Amino acid sequence: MANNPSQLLPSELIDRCIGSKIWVIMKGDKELVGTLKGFDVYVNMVLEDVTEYSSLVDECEITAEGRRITKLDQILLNGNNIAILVPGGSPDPE
Amino acid sequence: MSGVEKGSTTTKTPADFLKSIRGRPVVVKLNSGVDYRVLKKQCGAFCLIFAGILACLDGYMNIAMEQTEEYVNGQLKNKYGDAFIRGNNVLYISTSKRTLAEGA
Amino acid sequence: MATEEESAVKEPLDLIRLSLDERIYVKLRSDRELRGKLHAYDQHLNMILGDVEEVVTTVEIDDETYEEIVRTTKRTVPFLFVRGDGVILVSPPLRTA
Repeated sequence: MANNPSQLLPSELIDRCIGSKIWVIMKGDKELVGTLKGFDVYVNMVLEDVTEYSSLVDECEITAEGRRITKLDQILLNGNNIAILVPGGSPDPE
Repeated sequence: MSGVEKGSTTTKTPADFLKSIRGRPVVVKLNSGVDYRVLKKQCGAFCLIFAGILACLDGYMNIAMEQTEEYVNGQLKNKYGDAFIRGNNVLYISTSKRTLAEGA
Repeated sequence: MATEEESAVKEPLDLIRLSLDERIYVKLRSDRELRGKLHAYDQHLNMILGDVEEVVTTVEIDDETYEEIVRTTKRTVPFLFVRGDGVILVSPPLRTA
């Protein structure tokens, strides 16, 4: 760690996102945007006010048919399938 | 970790979250990984959701649920009194204020 | 240990422990379902089941009509070992419902 050439550790970057919006891109076709409440060493994350995006057309919803997004109050996201984290970003700016 | 103090009033770690949701209604969504080769609908995507009362869970995200309902692509397919869900399949655990029937 | 302790569900695997020697339902990847008597299990959820009924569900698309054809294949196996990593869900016999 002493020889880390960058000024910021990856975990510190995520830590700085706590309390703000974060864009999570999963392996596969799923993306989520939510407010980061916390995370652990596996990068399991607690997210609030989450919007889940499924790019596949027929990915199901528990609500209306045909929609591709799901809204969730608070989730614990398994870190296992996370590919990319983007502080503040969003796949759908509207 | 240094940043935790700064945000301690709003920080909620996964451990905190897990403590807070015991005995509460939750929705568990499973990974719809390509290796599932599950019942496909039309052009192919698939999702499996379990809704029920969270009895307990462990560090692997193994979950014990009561009054469990299984939704395949949004349709109720099965009910279980008790259910054990193996943690490796879990995509997320969500608190559910609204019921599935009410919708979002 | 008090019997009360033994019957309590404190961690998810307790649910499996309480199902020993009972018939359970197991949902596996690749649309497989098993119903059988649970003889043994471990922390990975590897299991030994007896008097097992296996149901495999397959969906084929008809080449001409593009209709989905859902087929279920049943077979019985007297005794088998299930590798835990294929397990999605285990449900004990209905206790509460």
